[in-house]
Amino acid sequence: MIKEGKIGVQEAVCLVTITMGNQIFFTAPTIVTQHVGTAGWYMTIISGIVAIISFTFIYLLLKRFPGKGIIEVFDITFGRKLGFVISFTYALSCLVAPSVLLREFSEVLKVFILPLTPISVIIGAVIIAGIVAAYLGLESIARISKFIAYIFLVGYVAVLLLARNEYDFSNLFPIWGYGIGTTIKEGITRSSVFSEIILVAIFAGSLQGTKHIKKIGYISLILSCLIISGGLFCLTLVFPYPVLQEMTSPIYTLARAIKYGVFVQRMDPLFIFLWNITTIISISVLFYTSVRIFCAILRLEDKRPIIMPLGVVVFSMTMTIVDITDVIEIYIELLRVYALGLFYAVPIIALITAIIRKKKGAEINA
Amino acid sequence: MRRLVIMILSGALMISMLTGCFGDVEVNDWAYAYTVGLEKGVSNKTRFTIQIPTLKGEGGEVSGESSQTDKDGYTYISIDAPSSLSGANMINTALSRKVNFMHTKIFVVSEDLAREGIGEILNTFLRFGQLRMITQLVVVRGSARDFIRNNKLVVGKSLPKTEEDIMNQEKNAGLIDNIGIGELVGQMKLLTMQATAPLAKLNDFSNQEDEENAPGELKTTGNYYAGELPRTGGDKAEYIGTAVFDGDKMVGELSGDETRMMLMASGEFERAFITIEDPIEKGLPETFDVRRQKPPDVKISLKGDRPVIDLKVFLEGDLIALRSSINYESKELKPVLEKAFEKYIETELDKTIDKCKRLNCDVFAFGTEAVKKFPTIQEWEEYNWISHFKDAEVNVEVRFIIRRTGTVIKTNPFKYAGDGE
Repeated sequence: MIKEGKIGVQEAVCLVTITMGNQIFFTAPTIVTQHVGTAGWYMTIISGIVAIISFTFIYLLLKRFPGKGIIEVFDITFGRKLGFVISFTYALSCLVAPSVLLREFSEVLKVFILPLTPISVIIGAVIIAGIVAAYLGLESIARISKFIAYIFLVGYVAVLLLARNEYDFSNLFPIWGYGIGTTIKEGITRSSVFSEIILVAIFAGSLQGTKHIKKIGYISLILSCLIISGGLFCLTLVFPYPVLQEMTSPIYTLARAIKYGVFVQRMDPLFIFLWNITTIISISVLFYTSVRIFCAILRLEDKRPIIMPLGVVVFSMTMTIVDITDVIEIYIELLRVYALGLFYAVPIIALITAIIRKKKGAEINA
Repeated sequence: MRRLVIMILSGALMISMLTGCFGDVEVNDWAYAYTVGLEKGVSNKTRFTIQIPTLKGEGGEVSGESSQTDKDGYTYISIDAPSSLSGANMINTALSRKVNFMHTKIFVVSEDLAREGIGEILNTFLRFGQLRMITQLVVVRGSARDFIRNNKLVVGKSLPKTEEDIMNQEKNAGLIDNIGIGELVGQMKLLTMQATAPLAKLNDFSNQEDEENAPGELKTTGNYYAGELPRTGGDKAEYIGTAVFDGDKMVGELSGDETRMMLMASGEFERAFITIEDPIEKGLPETFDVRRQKPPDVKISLKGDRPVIDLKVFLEGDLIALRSSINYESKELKPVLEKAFEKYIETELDKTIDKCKRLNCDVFAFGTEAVKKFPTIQEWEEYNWISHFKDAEVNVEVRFIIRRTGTVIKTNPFKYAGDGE
């Protein structure tokens, strides 16, 4: 089992929040608006509440096994074989997720900023960053996340506030979108947008106790919920729902629409900076997670031999995806549904199994 | 040693990746189209025109063979092409630089094309990604190519700055409704309002001598359409009035005055000098520097067969030019002028609203209030506000306050030896 240094609450919160909140920069606001119209901003709050409830179960599970990550917990509760299957599925998901995210990132980057650059070069460059991050380990990624988080927050809020001239509160109406029933249903199914909260459980062994896990989980979820919901609220204020439903990258379009006289225009570089850095952090942490899980299930003491091969696998998977339509309509939608069961339901089943089978970890005394 | 090798290799990799983008296109490989024009073609489907900088240094430094347009530091190229973007490719048969739309300031569309529908054309450019959503769209009465050809610099040396500044005159005069392409295309897809765009036309400078304008007749500032201002000198390109769209098709025009009324009703009016006829000494013009006091108050009732809209417009202003010798600065007479101004705006608003009802176009964004009455998108879309606007009963009320009377607080009459005639 790999032994790594511990990370603090702030680092972990920044890491998880960036990974979850980063989705506002992609097609997520467009897809949400297609499903719920003007209700996207509070649908996200419903999703956040569902995620918080689901995380409570994850926390209760981790509380039974102090000092252990969820992968080890699966081994204990489900047994070696079933635990292996579930952990392997987790590792695979953590390989697919960055591939889909990277493809979406590359496609949007190609549309707006680098139309002449081959997609393999964009993907390759990000994967190299992910591989380097995986070599450096969780501690380095978490520290970079903490450093970037403040810039991200200031830059993100600045972009949203600078667009205030374009705000039109009538865009929030009809207030119930496509109906409150649809909003609640979508809010529950799309709560998987916060499924990266599972990172807290996977890296539980690198955190400083269950109290910290609880704090990290809830703070990350609330912050991410505010970031995504706030972003959707501002986007809805700027773009009427028939317009928002069409956009490839609404936040980028918003940044390009900012105009204060002749001088304060073209704020898109601010967005590009935030978007690139946070996406690379998200991809790196997801890639590193899959490396960690593979190491755990294969009982590897050294992560280095599998980093490069897994990097090649992610590159191949990313290149295999045909086009942006496949990314949006197939892969992201599949991940949304799939993640709901895998990252929310499985830990609940594990908790119930642990209670029934009276499995419990040893108490750790500080 | 190993660490040193890794560091050197990483450094080399970073340097190679940070030298520029993979596309290998330098700034001087692009021809930035500041003005783009589209109209119906003659030899092919679309006539596509661009105005680009010649980049030969300051204006006037180009060779003697160049056209007048070249001397400004800008030239135009026009081509009949199957589509607008393929036209950009065709232009490269005679232009060594690749046409780029990232710095386009004004997108000109001819009136005949606008009347056929421009949604798909604009969508094409927005989808292409280079054109920014805040690029201004202008509908030109006549040929877009001729308009661009005559789009010259009168003041200053920068065409983009000039174009940006002319569109910003909305804030100063309210005679056009400045709108970005992104917002315009969005409005074409809404049920809360219909789209509008500024109107422009080349002025041939013949209107000043037009004898149809009776001498001494009082015509208000914006009582003109583009190209009709009695003017000589300056740029031939003239921006006044509004093109009104139903969906993506242009269906009508508003004059400068009507554009001001539209801006007042929709809350976008900022400031303008407005002239009215003196309420006591008929025929004399009195001018105010008018500003929006606060956003208009719009109340909509959908209870009856037809929508009822109560519109209250709040304005304030300063008296800046008084032709009569009446002491309107006094407490007794100031309300007379205020009431006359309110009456004038109410009448103009009624006329403009009636005209737009006839065009079946809610350009006042009354729908942004109506939408609040509907709980769900399905109900809103089923009601289809823009189809109901023509039946609406609109009650207009204007409040106007004269805040200041300029540098004069009392007007004494001029003294004549005779009777002053």
